Amino acid sequence: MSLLTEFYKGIYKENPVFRLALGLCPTLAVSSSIINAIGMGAATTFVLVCSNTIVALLMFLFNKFLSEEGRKSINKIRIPVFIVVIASFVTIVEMVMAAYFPALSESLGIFIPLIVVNCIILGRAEGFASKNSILPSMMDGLGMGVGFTLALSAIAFLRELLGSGQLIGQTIIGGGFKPVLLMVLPPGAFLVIGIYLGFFNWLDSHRKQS
Amino acid sequence: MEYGIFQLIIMSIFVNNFVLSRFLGLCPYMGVSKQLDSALGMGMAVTFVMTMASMVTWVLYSFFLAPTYQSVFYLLFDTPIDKIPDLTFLRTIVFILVIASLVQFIEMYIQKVSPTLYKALGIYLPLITTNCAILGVTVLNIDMFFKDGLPLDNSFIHTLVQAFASGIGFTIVLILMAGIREKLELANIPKPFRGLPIAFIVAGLMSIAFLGFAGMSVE
Amino acid sequence: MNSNIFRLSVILAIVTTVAAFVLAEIYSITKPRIEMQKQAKTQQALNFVLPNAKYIEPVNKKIPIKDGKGNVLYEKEEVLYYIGYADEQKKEVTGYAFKAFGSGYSSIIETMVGIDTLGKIRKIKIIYQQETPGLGANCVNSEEFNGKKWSIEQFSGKTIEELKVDKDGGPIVSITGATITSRAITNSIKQKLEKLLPVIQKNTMGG
Repeated sequence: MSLLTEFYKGIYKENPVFRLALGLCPTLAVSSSIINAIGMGAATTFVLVCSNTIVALLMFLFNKFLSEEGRKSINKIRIPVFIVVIASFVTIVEMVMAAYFPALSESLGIFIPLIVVNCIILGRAEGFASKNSILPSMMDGLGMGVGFTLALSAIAFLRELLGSGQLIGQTIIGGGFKPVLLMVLPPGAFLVIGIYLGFFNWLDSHRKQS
Repeated sequence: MEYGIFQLIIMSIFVNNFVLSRFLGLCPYMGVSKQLDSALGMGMAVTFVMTMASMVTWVLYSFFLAPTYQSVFYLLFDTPIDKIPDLTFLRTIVFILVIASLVQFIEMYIQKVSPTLYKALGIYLPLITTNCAILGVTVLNIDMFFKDGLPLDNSFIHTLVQAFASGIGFTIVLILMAGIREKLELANIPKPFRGLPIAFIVAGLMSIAFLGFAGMSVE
Repeated sequence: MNSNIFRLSVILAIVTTVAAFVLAEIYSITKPRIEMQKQAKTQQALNFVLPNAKYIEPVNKKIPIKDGKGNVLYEKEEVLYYIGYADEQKKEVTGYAFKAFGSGYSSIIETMVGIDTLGKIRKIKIIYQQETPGLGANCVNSEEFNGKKWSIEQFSGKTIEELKVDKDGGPIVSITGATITSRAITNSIKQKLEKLLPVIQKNTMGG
């Protein structure tokens, strides 16, 4: 399992949104514009990498310096400890964004603190970082984060383009194009994801045939 | 600021429905909503946690985190007004820990009182902790009913009503979804769309229906 | 059994305390910057809504903060409204400005409103909102749908009676799909203006 494999799997094979169906709440809410999508993706990736690293580090230290009995009790408390670690990094993101990227911070709104409950982060901390060493955990976090960002951007691409005729705030389809307002509204989010999911399922079965 | 109670209830259940308008509470929505009875059980559990968590976090924020004259530092420890520590940055950590503890207690309670429900909810019970709806409503309460750390008029009642009504709205949508999906199991759907994709498309259609409430004026 | 729970709680407490300390440090660094951003934004908004004013001065008011029994705990000084003067000599008033607060869809929306000396709106600017991205959040821009356009410019020149959204029978075009946001902004401006106009008139008569 080379480090690069750990990174790549998050992008397609185990893409958190399209294959693992994790992190759906922010995906639907924030994918109405590409800038929001990339901003949220970057913030989530930061938290993923940091929390995976610290979780792997903590588990390494616990397993090294604790007795057999100590390790058993750690097992019972590990989820709340992970949550505190994740919540801390999310708080850091909250503060740094409010201080240095106020427009994006206002744009993403309550979904910044909600990064804490993004199933991807706790899922990877519990499912991967707690059982692997530090460097692979970092790569896993990075890959999942990038995969998440790409998924968000793919959805935002369709929603922003069809819903407002713009991309990154610049008008692409001008003159007479009546934007499909539904696309930037909640239904558009559900429909676009449903179609993407169906598409990827079809792609998968098609590949298996050939 | 000027919300009537009835207005708030209607808004929280329909106009600002947590799942279909605010996009909060989706993971269990997609996972649990395949059967009617587990959908109802999950909905009730989530509503309960939302309401309890909202009350506890309201108290913690008002009296411990916000540096105002209501802070315990001022009331009990006589710290001068301008020296009260601003602990609002601890909001996310404190809130999520409160939620995690509440879910833990509820898990133990349900296990004792109704082992069947406990088994039916399975892994989705501890997962209530990561349900965006719960952390979402607690953060929303602060954003909407506090200004500069001080609660607005009737803030606590509004918080309670919003939390409970939003939970009901979540439950309603969950049950609707479960009913539709039970029927979908028997329908002939193209293979790539079976399971999650069609669930999303159905959610999209439901969301369009709920959009009809958006223009509703509740005066 | 009990000592086990005790030990677990201690571990959790240690992790939480370490986290709290790190966060407090970072907060002490970012908080001043956040404050500064807020001030800059207010100043920017003031300059935008009072374009003819070369000198802007706040009119403050001491607000007594009472406890539950009505005893005054302390007095807090707050800005009631701003006066825009043509120059630093303060001889000619070009207009007034104030902040309006309205409860929106998912946040309290802050609007800076500039009015002329007769109480008609000159310009508004949304200072703070956390409404739905792509929807209510577009209140800071212009949004056109089917020939109808929401913009902050449509408020210019409106009198107090005209501050109603189309759904309430007024001339203000609301954002499609974000009635709550549009209404919150419009009504908050109207209510604040209704409260402030008599105060401003009284102050100008007396002073």
